[in-house]
Amino acid sequence: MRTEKKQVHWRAHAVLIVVLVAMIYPMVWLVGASFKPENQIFSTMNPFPFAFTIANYLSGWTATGNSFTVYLANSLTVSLCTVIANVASCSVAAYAFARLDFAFKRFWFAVMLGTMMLPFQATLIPQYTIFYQLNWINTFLPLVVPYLLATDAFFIFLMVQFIRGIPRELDEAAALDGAGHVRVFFSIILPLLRPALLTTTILTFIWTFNDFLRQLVYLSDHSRYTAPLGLNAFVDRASGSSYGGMLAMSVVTLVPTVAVFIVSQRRLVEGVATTGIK
Amino acid sequence: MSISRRGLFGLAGGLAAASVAGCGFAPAGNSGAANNSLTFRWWGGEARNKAYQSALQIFTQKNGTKVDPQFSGYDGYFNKLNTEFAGGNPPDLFQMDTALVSTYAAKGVLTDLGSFIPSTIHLDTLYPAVRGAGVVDGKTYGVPSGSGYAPVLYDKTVFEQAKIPVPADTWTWDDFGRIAGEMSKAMGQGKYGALDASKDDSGALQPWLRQRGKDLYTGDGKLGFTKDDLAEWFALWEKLRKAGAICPPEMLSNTDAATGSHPLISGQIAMTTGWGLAQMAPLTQHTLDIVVVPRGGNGKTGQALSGGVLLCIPAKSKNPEAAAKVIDLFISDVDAIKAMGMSRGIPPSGKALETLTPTLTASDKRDVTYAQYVADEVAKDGLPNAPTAPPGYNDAKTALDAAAKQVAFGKMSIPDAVAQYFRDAEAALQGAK
Amino acid sequence: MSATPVRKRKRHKHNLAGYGFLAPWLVGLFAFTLIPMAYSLYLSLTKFNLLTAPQWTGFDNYARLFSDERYLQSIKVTLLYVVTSVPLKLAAALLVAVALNRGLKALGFYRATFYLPSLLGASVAVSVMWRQIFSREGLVNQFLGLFGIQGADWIGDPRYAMWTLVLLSGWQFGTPMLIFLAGLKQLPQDLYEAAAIDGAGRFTVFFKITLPLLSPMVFFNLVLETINAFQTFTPAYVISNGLGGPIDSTLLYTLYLYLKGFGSMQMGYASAMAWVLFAVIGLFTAVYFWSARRWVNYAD
Repeated sequence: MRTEKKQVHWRAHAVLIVVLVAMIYPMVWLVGASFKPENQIFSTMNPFPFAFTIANYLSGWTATGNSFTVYLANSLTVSLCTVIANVASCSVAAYAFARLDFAFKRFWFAVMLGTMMLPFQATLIPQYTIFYQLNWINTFLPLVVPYLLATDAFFIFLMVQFIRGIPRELDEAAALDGAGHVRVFFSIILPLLRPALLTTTILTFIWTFNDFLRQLVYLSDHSRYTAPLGLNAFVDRASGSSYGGMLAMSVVTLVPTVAVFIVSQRRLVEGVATTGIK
Repeated sequence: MSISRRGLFGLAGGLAAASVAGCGFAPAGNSGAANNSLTFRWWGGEARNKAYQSALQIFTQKNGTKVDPQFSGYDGYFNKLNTEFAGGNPPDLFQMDTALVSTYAAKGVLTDLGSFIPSTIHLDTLYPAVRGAGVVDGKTYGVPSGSGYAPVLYDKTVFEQAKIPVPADTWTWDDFGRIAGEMSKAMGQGKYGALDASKDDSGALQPWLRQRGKDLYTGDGKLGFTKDDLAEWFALWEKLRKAGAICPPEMLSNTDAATGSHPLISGQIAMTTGWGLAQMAPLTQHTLDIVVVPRGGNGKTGQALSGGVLLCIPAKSKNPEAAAKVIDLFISDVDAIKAMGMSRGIPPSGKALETLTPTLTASDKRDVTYAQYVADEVAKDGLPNAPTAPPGYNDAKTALDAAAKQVAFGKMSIPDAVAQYFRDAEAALQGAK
Repeated sequence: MSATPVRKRKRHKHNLAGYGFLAPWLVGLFAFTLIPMAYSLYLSLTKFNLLTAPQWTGFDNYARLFSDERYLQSIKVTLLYVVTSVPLKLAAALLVAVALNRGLKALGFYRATFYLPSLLGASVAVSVMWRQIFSREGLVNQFLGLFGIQGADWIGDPRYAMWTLVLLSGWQFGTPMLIFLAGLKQLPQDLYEAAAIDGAGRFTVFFKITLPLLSPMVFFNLVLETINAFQTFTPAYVISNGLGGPIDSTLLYTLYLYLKGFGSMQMGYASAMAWVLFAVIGLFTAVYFWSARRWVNYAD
């Protein structure tokens, strides 16, 4: 019996390692290729650069007319603002749904769940038109303001599930002490909501950092480009001539999100896993 | 002590630091005019990119205004412009295809440059024949920057290695097919004699149509040829494709920019249309040369003088004065003319020709003598001048690209592809009226 | 009797507080969801290029859609994409989750590493990487070359380009995998012990016990991933250079919508496209929910 289990383990490990290597190899190749001189990029499968060089990074950084510093700064600004806005707005909405009782609550909750399944294409064009009328096109406002108003229901849902797990006795105890809803929210719920807030922060950051279509549509001034747009401009102009720079800049745009992931991965993975539990 | 509160402060601090980019929240355009900088967009390839960037640096040195360069391949260039016209932030100056200027003038997105001529833009420096390339309905919307006759470019070095005689200026389409086939055999596996030019309207289809007395479009905005013509055109290329004389359609995706991955430069084909010697020669060690587009059975070349690329300023531009000065730079400034060289075609003025003649490389000189030769031959043709492209032609051009590729990939029969093209192109020309 | 006034006052207080906390979401709901949807419906019945006022055209746009060859092509491509990539993704997620659920010591490492691609998958950078890997001289062909197989130009050949997109989607099985893993952890062990005593083989156990118990997760992932699949944009755009080629073989619905709405500025037409998509997704979701009664078992 015991040896059988060990054998099973060994085979599972083998399969998993093969799958793992197959999945991660492209990214390993990418990083390796970015450090290879141009003419060696496609010459071998081996990701380890024989002639290590950072030339691709240097040339690629300014190859699109603006420097990637600008693009990264723009991306960070948008993502950070969005994170703050989203955390704030989703947590208050979640508190209302999870803890407060009010007229038509069930109805609004169903509507919120419904918006989670709404494809963004249904609102892309009219939102664009509205922002055009407001003269917000080519600014970061269309990218950030919707998050200030909790339009990503996924995170409201995430937090509602979480708050439901916080014992009501704590609320009631605070209420007995004379705390109103606002105080309960800030001093009881919010601190205990930390794991969900963390998941929200990380996912919002990563998703908005990589959000391409909305940035493509709203930002046309090259000096306002975010990292994905900068990289895409690179692809556009390179048209196949400077692979090294393009790959190097791809790595650069991946660094922030991968870094955030590595730092937070355990919490993040646990947080995401709980969304599937009804 | 809750991390969330500390985290919030940390984020706020980070935000303050990142507020360097915070001007991204202000409405568009203010920053541009305030810093007195312009955006200038073009398509082309490495040689043209370098040329423009040198010329723009000259402009900044002499004028103080910074010009932000933006460049890409031809594919998708106009899609992007369309989005920006709508979004209210097109580049301050951009390259325009002569065939598409009437379309964009009709959309109302170009500035009439009349008020800048001749005070800022010294249009009369240019040859009379080219001045009108950007004129639509009597108004000048674009300034020409060069001109030329679309050539066939070939790799002389590869021909010599294969010991096959290079094309002669008197060659016909039959000769083209034969030579392409011979080159394919000689060059070996994975290499082909010629580019599949079935989708090239101005560089291949137009001469072919003009040789038989037709043209791409008529003066009153309709298509200038019939379904039978197009079917014959596609059949010509299909025959070559089956014989292995022309490249497979997968290679076409690298032809929209003059870079190292263009099949002629990467050694995969021996002959191509679509780009001039000045843009391609600097990219390779091989010797390239040019020859006129294959003639029709009646010996006519059918070529039409192309107005080359135009420079246009968008309507409602925030800094049209400065943009007009940049346009004039290319016409009037000797240093800029030298920097641009022949990357946009034959010099469009006596002044440019004079300035450039001492600097011309061997291949540049070939370009000039080629243009003179073709001009003479075109005069011998005695064909009427080509009409200007009507509004809506941009979609007709895309439709040709789509139909030709469907045939090339074997996804559609020739009759179906022809029918599709006519449906789409006629709708495009109709709809733009 | 006296209880009633107190109850009324309490509910009033909750209403104020409730709507107070809900206010940002409510404003957002109307400003960025409901009103735009209504506006989009209106626009779909007009001809609109953003610069001039919308011109009423009735159901013209919808009628034109179905004679638009590129539109029909985009439907074909998208449906094929959804119908192949979603099952692929879920199957991969399930298999890997089951394999990981054996109490391996390196679970945390595997879990995180498998999850990473799905976080980054929708980015431009990953799409760029994918395009290079599947290009004629890329990694995949070099790998195939080891076995003497001559690989095609996967990206440039219209027969294969879309499948690179499907593979990219499958590569991102990390998110549904996490959900399956969490579900597997919660499975009651006594059922497995009983099956082991009965001598049930691994396949029987999987199909008769694990899968039915996991059906709520399967359902959840199915709905989520289907909706995501219909909204795919970035990979198609980057891999095809914004054109949907070669010859529209990667013209996903969202890409065509973008090209029509923001490339050709035909926003009325694109709005009609958006509503048709909405209806199609609604249909899929409705079918899922309806069929759920048959195969989804909730423990309670």
